[in-house]
Amino acid sequence: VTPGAIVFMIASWSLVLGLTAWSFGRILRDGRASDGEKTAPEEADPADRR
Amino acid sequence: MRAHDGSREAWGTRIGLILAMAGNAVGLGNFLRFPVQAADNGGGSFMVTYFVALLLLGLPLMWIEWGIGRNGGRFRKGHMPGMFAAIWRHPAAKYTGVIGLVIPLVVMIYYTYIESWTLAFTWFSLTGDYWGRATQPEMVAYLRSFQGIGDPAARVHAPWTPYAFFAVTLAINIWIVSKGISAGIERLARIGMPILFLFATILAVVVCLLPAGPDGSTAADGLNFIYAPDLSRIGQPGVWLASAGQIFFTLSVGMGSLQAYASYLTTKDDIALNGVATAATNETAEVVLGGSIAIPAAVVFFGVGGAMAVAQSGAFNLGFATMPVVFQQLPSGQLLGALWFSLLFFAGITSSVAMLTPIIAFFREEFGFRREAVSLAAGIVTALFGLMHIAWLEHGFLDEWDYWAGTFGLVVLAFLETIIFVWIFEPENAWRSIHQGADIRIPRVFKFVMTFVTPAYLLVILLWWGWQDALPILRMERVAPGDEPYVLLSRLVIVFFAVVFTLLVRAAWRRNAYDDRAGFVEALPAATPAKEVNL
Repeated sequence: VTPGAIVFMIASWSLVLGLTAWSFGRILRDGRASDGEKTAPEEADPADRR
Repeated sequence: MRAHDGSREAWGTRIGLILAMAGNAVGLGNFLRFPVQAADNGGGSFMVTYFVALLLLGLPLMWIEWGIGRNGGRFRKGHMPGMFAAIWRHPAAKYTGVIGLVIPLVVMIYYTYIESWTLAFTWFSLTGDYWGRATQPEMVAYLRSFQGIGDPAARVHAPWTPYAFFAVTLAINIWIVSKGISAGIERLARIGMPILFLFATILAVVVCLLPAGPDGSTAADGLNFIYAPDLSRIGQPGVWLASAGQIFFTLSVGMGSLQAYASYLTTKDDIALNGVATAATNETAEVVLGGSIAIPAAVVFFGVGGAMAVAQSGAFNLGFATMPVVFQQLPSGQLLGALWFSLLFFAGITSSVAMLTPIIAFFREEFGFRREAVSLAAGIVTALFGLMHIAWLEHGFLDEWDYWAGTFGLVVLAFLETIIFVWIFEPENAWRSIHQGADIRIPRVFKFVMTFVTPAYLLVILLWWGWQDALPILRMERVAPGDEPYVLLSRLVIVFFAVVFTLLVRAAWRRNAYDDRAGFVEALPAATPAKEVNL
């Protein structure tokens, strides 16, 4: 295996596995949080423009 | 997860929703198409452009489709005509959405047929039916025999075999869909997705531990074959388009099914983080697992040159002809073969049930039919038109549908929905909509990407593919002599579906007395006073 291939493989795998671990970590953490921590209820509903 | 009111279904759990969404995205392409594309397009060059496409095309489209779906759900619309009409108050909106009913139905029909091959080969592996066919040409002949094409005298399968496996596959699909969102689709995802990842991991480990093949090649050489950086190709437009196409197909965007799933969410449910989690799960299945099985195994047994020839002969040859040859040379090969094909079956079925969801939602929401009745009717339609694919496979009937609905149509729908959600709804409203109930704040640069880069990227793909493929295909330049009537009939069926759905949409709007300019009445949560609905 060439060093370049190893670099690309490690980089690719790290990116997708890191993104998966981060997103599921957030979901599990937020699963224990209350609805009050949601970011947007105070924002305007786009439907209100109508 | 919450239902909008007492009459609409809801997802049971957030993890179940993500697994169902990821199941929709993870399909045969993750394990067959991705490694072939990577190897064909410069390895490292492909991976660079692939991740650029994920950021500029894949993730934005995920958020756009989740946003369109959830917004449609506020008005109890789980289908594209309703979702477009909920955003764009124009009589043309509902008819523009017809494409979002035609595509999932058309793709569902031929995809179920291909899915039935994986079920059949799971059975053939368990029973050792193809054992003894130790070369790829012999396996290609075996596959053609099963499909009922080629010389009838050379066939080893009874003529009814593909029909039987198609019937069983379709029955499983319909049974799952008829059970509903939570009890059917979500339960399938909660069972099927862990099994899929388990089987894929087992196979990837087995392949990585294979001893060197006849010419001394190892699985590491296979990974090298995929990932070796040929950066000289990074300037080629073809590599950029190939990677964008792969991102497009692998995430199942432009299909109408992600939107249908998202319509069962409320504005208090997150879609920003869920969208990332869904894409990430799919990418793990594709990059980490999909790239570690078929091509490395082919390299071990056939060498880099042989694997390259296999890759260039197409993804299906890799999956159905090459892998069975590999399994026959391994200890416990029958079991490993069954694992491989059942892995593909699970990847397929979690996608095909998703394709039926917008169709069922349309008939339930607009005509008041029961889910079981619509599921059964969809099953009958799929069976009737699926028979055409089985009977006329060798005449290019399936290829025609795969191009117009499963390739070109997806980009058309994705482009239309991006324009409607971002430009007609207006970028600020789209951005706010995606962030309602969000657990994360998406970096603001993505607002610019969604507004300008993603539609431009889609337009380039559309124009390029239109010029390169659509025109020659439309003119039947690549059709084998004698197959023209089948290809023409294939197209006419798609047009027939489009006409029927257009008339049905028109009938639905009249039946329910919808006013295109006034919009829909928002569905209120059963226990929530009206004054609290507008956030």
